[in-house]
Amino acid sequence: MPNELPPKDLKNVWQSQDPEAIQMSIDEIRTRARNFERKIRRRNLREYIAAALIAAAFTFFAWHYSWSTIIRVGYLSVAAGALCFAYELHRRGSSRPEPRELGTMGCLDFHLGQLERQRKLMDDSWKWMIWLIPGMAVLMAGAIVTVPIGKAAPFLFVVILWTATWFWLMQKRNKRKARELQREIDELRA
Amino acid sequence: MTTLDVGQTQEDLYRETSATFLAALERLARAYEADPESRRDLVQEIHLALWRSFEGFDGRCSLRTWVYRVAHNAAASHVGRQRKHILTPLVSLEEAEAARDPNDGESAADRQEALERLLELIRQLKPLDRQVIVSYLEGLDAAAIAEITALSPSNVATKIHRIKNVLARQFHQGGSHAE
Repeated sequence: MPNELPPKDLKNVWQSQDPEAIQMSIDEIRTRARNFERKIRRRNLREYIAAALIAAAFTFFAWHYSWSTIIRVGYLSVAAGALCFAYELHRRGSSRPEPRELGTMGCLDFHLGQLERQRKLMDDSWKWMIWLIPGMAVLMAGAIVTVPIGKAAPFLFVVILWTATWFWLMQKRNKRKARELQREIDELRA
Repeated sequence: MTTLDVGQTQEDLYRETSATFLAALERLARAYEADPESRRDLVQEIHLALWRSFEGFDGRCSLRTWVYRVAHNAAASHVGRQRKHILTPLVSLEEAEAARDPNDGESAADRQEALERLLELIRQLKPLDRQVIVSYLEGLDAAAIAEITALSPSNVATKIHRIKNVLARQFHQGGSHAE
């Protein structure tokens, strides 16, 4: 039927779609809401436990495997950095919109809010990654001070180069994403 | 328009809206999700978002506006999460208007084909344009669309004009048919 036009009124075509009738009972929705809350609590708990384990492991190293004060300080700094890193991750995760915000915010404001949140996350990524640097720096300094430099130099060179490259590439990628998001935000605000 | 009775509980509100807007919410989910299984998840996600949102419903806007805002915002978040794995870029209405019609020379033979083509067009649009076109197809007027989307009424009017042009081109009917 090459010459036959589609129905005249597209609104009618749209509104007369066959419904699948995906309905949920009140009990089902209550159960899902409870499961959702439980999932969030479990996710938070997992993050706290992971951070606590890392901090505990490095504190253990500081106590039992430190051959000098500077190495001990390094291990403890890594432990503290892991806790700060976990806190930042938690803060990032909990900045999701509140359920009522879905209804109080118009789509434009909601969309802008989401984009702003993502842009800030990308722009500020160094703020939560940087917590890991002091501990690593102190540990490396400790290695330089306590191990003959000739033996430690190749290992340190690789570690420093790898870490610096990783941070640089992450920053570059995150900044590019932040610029793209900012362009999208500016277009929407125009 | 659905109105709020004083003393309505979260459960009352959910019962009322899930009955009134059941079909509209499914249509809305189709505009965001092509895969039937994911679409089912999305519909349930929207219902859950509605239920949770009603704890904070204060009647400052109509129930209809609230329901559409929650549904669109929840669906847009869902698509945002899914799109992290998909590389095809979304387009604006302006870009869709300027782009060559991929079905040039063909008319949609029946309602089902017209609907599929319509859904294909909607799913490639950026979130706000998608929200405006779905609201338009649901039969909402410019003022209601402006309230749901938080766009200015003049901006909504411009977008509706573009929607009509895009639909007319896509379906070869001239502007008057896509009213």
